[in-house]
Amino acid sequence: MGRIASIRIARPPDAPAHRLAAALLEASPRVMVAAPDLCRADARGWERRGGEAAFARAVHAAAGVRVGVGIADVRVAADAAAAMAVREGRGGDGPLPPTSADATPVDTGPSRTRIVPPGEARSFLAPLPLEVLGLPGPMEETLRTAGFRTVGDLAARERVELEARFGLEGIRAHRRALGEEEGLFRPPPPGEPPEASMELGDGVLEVEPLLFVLGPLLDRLCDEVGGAGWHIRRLVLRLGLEGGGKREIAVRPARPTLRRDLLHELCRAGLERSAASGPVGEGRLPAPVNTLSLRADERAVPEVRQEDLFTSRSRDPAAASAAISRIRARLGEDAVVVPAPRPHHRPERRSRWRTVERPAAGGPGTVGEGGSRGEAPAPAGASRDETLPGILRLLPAPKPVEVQCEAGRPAAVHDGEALHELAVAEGPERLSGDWWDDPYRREYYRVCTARGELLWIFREPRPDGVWRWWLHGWWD
Amino acid sequence: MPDPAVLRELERRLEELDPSRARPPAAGPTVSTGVALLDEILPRGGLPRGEPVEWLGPRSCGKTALLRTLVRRRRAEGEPVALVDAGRTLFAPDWVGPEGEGGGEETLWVVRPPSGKEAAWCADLLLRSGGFGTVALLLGDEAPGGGRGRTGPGLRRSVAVRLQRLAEEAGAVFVVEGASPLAALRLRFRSGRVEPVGGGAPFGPFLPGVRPVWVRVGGGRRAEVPVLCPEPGDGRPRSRREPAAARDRKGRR
Repeated sequence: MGRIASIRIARPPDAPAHRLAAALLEASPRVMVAAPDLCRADARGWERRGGEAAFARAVHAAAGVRVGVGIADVRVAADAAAAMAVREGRGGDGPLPPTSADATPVDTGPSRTRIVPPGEARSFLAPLPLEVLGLPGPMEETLRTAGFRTVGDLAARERVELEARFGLEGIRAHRRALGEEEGLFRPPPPGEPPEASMELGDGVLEVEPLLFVLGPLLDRLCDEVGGAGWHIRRLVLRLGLEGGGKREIAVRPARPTLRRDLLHELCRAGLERSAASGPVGEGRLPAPVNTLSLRADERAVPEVRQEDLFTSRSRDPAAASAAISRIRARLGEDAVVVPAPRPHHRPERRSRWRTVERPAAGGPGTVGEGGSRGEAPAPAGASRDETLPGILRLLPAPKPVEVQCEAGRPAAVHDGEALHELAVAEGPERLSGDWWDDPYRREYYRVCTARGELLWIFREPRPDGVWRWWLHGWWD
Repeated sequence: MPDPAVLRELERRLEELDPSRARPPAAGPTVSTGVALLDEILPRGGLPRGEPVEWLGPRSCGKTALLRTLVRRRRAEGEPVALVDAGRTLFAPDWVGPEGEGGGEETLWVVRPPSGKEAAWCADLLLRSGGFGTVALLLGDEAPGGGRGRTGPGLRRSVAVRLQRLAEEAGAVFVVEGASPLAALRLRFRSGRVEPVGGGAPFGPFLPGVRPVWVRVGGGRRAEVPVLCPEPGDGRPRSRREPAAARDRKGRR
């Protein structure tokens, strides 16, 4: 059975409901905005922390403004209890008459709380007027005309009678009067990843308001995950769109972390990318967002790294990971890579890069400022007699060039800017293959310009049979 | 951070108890390039930490080969290295570390931004993190004919100021392959004519040959580092437009 807390702002201009909802995340992982002056939160989970009275005190402390809090099994009872609490906080003026119902008042200073014990929502609602059920106006008027004055009057009737007189609306009204309604907040099943969510009353189209509520959601989630001794390896930001659609944005820091600033920045980058790629663009989401939830999809044990006490400066792998994560969040997952070549005849396929999954914790030991020449043995490098190998620089895509030939061999290359005479041309080296996928047939030449540049060019026949020349790279 | 004075006292007492723990004195805030010939001409015997180093030369001068040697040396000493490849021209097989393809934990990360405009921003983040001991910003070559003497792509002064400060705070080796207005050390690379291996008449730049790379440091100091030309061919036809002897080492007739 769920426990729902309704929090009603005593004086609505004191604070907007969205701001109140963001603050309530300190007390509860699931919060929703129900009306401009009303929020609801999941009141479960405080059994070991002082019970619902402690939860109510936490809500009042988090709210920062005068509120009335009502806690009950069902929404209607919680709303009514909250209204009662607001009225009591005002000294008797308010929307409901005083009642000696079973709700237990909790003294929380200038703000008030009413807690309806579990299973007693029906008896609590019985003496209250019909308006607390929140029925549609015409239906409420119809029931009043039929002689129903209190919730108890309605609850005492048989459902078949109400169905016969008022149809489906009558059944709904009867269910509310009996305190029968589906739980508003469903807890995650055991074993499910921790999650924090917020329902936004009005759909939000801009990214900035979402970022505002993202901070408290992250705080809530990090507290829950960190409290269990975990770090977050993968986070999923789920947007519930108007009309029932959903959008998920996965965030994966380079290293499991609980750093809220880093996670916030990564989520921000994801939201901005989502907005930029949508049909509207310009920082607006594709559809109004009604709910925002964060789920720690993957968790990991925090990594502990033993440092050397006497190392004056060590490289923090967590800081390196954060930098890599930020670059990937802004430029894409494949912006930070490590070399992972593979055997292939086609040069561009031989040069393969692999996305970084998990940066290293650093090599053997850490390197301090003392790691200078002469301190440690020189494990790699060129001695005085050693010759270094030349390195190829390969263009991301071959560049078309014009080549002048003499006796069938390259004599000059025009790159679109200038003509470069060739001193030497070696080749052709013929490469071909991939006929089943993406066939290619190339004749490579290694050439040296008159100015000493070592270029790698090739020619390839076009579909019309004419050979086309390309520059693929150079040696440096 | 622990009090340095307390640390020194602890070290001294530990050395008294166990002389084998004595640490050699720090050689200063420089690092070896991995090329002995180059280290000899550099001020203080290596590349400075926390100060930008301009690594400049025309295409095919050999500067990338020397850069790779530097990277390998830093990685072998356990220092994480980050390269920002603005032109996306690095060839992956040339940059695999000693641990092999993907084996073990990597100590080299290559940032390949979609466009060169983000290169300086990437270098900013990497330096600011303090998590990398060496950061190299390769601003990218353009079309052939970058030419001798032309500096090619470079950093704006405002960007250079910011990166210089970040490198200083991080105590990292920061190399810019391109013009850098505030470089504390400028290395100019230039290549010479190919000499044949084992004597004999030179054939040309590829078969088989060693090309000297001259590195000039401010103050007139110069070193000559031999760089191998690309792998010798298998005797495929080659053409030469005129005898190499008719050209001087600058390739002029």
